[in-house]
Amino acid sequence: MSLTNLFNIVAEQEPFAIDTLSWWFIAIVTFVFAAGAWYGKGYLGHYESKPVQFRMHWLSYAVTYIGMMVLFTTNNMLVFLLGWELMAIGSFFAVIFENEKPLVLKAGINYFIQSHVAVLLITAAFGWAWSVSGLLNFDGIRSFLAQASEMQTFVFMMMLVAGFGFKAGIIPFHSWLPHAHPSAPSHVSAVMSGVIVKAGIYGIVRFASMMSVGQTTVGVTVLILGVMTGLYGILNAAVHRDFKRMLAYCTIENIGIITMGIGVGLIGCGRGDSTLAVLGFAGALLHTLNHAIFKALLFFGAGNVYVATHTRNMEELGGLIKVMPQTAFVFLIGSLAIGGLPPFGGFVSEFVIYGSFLDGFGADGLSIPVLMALSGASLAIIGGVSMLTFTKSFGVIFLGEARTQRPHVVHEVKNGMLWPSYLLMLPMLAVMLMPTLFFGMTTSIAESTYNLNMGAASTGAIAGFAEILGKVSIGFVIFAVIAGIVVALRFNAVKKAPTHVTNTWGCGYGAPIKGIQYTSKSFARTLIELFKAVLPSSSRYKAITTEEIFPKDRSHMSADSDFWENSLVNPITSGIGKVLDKFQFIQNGDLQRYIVYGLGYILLLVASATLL
Amino acid sequence: MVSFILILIASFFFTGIVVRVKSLAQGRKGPVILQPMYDIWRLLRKGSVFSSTSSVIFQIAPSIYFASVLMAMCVVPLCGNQGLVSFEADFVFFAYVLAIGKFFTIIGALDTGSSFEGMGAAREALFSMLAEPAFFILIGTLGLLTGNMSFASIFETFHFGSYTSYAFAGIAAFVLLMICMIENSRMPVDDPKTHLELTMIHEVMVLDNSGFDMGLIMQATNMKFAMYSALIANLFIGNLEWYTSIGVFFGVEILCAIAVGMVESFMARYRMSHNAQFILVLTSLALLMFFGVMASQGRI
Repeated sequence: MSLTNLFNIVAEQEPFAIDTLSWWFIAIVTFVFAAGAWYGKGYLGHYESKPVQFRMHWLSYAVTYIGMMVLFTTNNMLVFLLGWELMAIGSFFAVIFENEKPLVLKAGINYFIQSHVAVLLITAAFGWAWSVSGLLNFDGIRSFLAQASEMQTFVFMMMLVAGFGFKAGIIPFHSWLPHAHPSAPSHVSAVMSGVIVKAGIYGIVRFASMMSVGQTTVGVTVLILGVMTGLYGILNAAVHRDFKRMLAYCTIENIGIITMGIGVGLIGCGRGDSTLAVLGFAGALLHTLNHAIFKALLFFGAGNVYVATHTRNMEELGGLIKVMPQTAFVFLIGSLAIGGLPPFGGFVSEFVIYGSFLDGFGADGLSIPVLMALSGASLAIIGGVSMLTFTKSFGVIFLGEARTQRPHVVHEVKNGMLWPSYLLMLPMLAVMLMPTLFFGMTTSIAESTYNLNMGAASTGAIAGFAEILGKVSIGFVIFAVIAGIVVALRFNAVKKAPTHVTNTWGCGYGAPIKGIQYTSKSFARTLIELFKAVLPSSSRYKAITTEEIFPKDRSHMSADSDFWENSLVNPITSGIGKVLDKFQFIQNGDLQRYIVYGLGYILLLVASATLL
Repeated sequence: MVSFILILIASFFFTGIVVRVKSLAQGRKGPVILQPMYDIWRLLRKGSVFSSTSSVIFQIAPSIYFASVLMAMCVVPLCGNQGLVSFEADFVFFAYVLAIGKFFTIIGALDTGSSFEGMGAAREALFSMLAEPAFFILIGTLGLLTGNMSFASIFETFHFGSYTSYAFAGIAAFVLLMICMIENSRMPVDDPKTHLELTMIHEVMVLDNSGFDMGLIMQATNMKFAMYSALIANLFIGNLEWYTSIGVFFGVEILCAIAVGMVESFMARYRMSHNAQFILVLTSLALLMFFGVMASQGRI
């Protein structure tokens, strides 16, 4: 089939269709991209690159956005892949803005390759559907899945989940995130982490809706993957000292939470339990919105810190709240929201997901209720570790005393880099005050995308849950009022009584060095020991022996690595590398040999022409 | 609102009873029951000392901690009265509201730049994380047993009469009491009266707090004790008449205080490295209960 032919086929089938699910993602992506562009304007002002580099950067930023829009609006497999490719290439060039640094380039190429492994999986799945149904639009997938057996559906969906999992950062496909996010400029990290990974979520939600059998099996698999991703992501986030890498792992955690919601939703679909399905999907979609907002907020805050201090290592920082109070405020709000702490937006979506787990308790049989209980407990653990991670990060970066002397004066960033963060707080405030509205939107998206048969019971249950969310927001207001009153009373009382300022208590010792403060590593030490099995870290230290009466200077070095990268990704890639090394004799840099290759090729051509 | 006031009243004497039990166990007479409240009242009027390292976070942290406990108290029902805020799955809200208070206590401790307080903060964050799943599974299980998911309706329908619900109430009371001890950083996991900063969790986090802030923190601890005991009391109140239930409530509060005092008198604190195991045992107990409920409903 020639290229024009292909164009005609695609055009005849009306390749674009926008439904509510598309709108939801378009709205989130556009908002975060706009905020990111505003922030990036100020952020890139700190670089002394050539104008052509800036132009190239913004071009790739725009291409990424266009690719995503194509992705969300298309109704055709080929156009979908085209949009996916545009997004992957655009974001690759956006990531390697600082391409003079070898590490950045390496991370970028890692990302580029992994996104293409994802494309490979998705293309294979699409090709399968196309070869059976003969249609290039999504109806082809629908008709393929309508006749597929349960096993075929499962394999097909797993190919897609793996493919989209690469983009979203579901373990074990997440290993590009912790490299790419720290390397990218902060506004690109914000859109990557906030919305580009959500393209994977969109793909899963979109294509899972086309299944006609076997949703429960796929749902259970996705739920378990989600739980593992969430736990793994947050445990790693608690360990890392590079604050942008910490945020990258935290993204993995939140993708896990979203995936849990999708898994519960699919289980609901499979069991014909519309209430469970709607709660699961609504929680996932709502968390997609919330996470996009507060992750962008956190990356903006992290970008401000990086611009002001030129380091991403939180062990070198401390006490920044005194010089950068506004950035500290932004980061604090982001930290509270991402931990799902009331009254901030994150609580609403996590609450809906908890609600779906509790709803699943009542399901028949043994396996689903047990799975729900364990998932709920895992979500509670994730919440707890997330609190540890963010108290640590906020505390080490912004509180206490500076751990090292920066070579320059650290001061607050320009307003142009703070306003985008305040802009992001507006939708967060909206979710806080009107959770019912947002819940209503996501439930109707879930119902229409999945064609759920909402009986009177389910409609009533969902309306009841919306009412609960209304009460939650009242709870938020009451809490805010109580906190306000207590703080006001406290400041009034403290003002009346005598106060004086002195050193921090140090057991009577008044001149401790700054380095004695608790660091990020020491804060997470016990946790690392508890989860040694999945948190590999190497250290280099020579212990003091008893023979050494006057110990000499010592140094201690420790590095944290990624369990899945070490045990799965690296063996595979090095295995492929080893096989390919065998063919290295072909490329040997010897000019004469290359001439022989050329000669051989020409001979082959002549021979084949005469023989055939 | 009734529950809020009752818990507040119980919080006034809870720690006093704990202290009295401990001193009796040591063969001393001990201070009057209301002595802790006199101390708090004195602290509230005292002046404050602030570290030059600390920032505004240190100033607002105790207030937000106090407010979070007040808010959590609003969720707890008692004697057939729902809390001020009551809805399905409100226990999630309850746990997360307490978490925001903890968040601020932890960053307040880090704000002083003291390594002692950093150490306490790290331990607090870790241990409260480990206790989280036990609480969720426990209340979720009670919800499964009663078919309701809000505190008020769970406790209203938690009837006595069958042997299984006695057993469940017993386990639940034990797990809740232990969670209460962990949340308040008391004996098996933490020793507030130890002589060395290195061995504390919660007390070391508030080393630099003084005056009004310290008073708030101490009263918040009292209220937390009373609040968790109120949850335990709820397990035994069911749908009794209000006059009996108030009696049962105060009875359970006093029993809990005595239990805390006895544990503190006759047990030593676990090694820090053993705490994690101990806390995870609670989760397995809660899971055991979950399976028990599944079995009692004939689903296994």
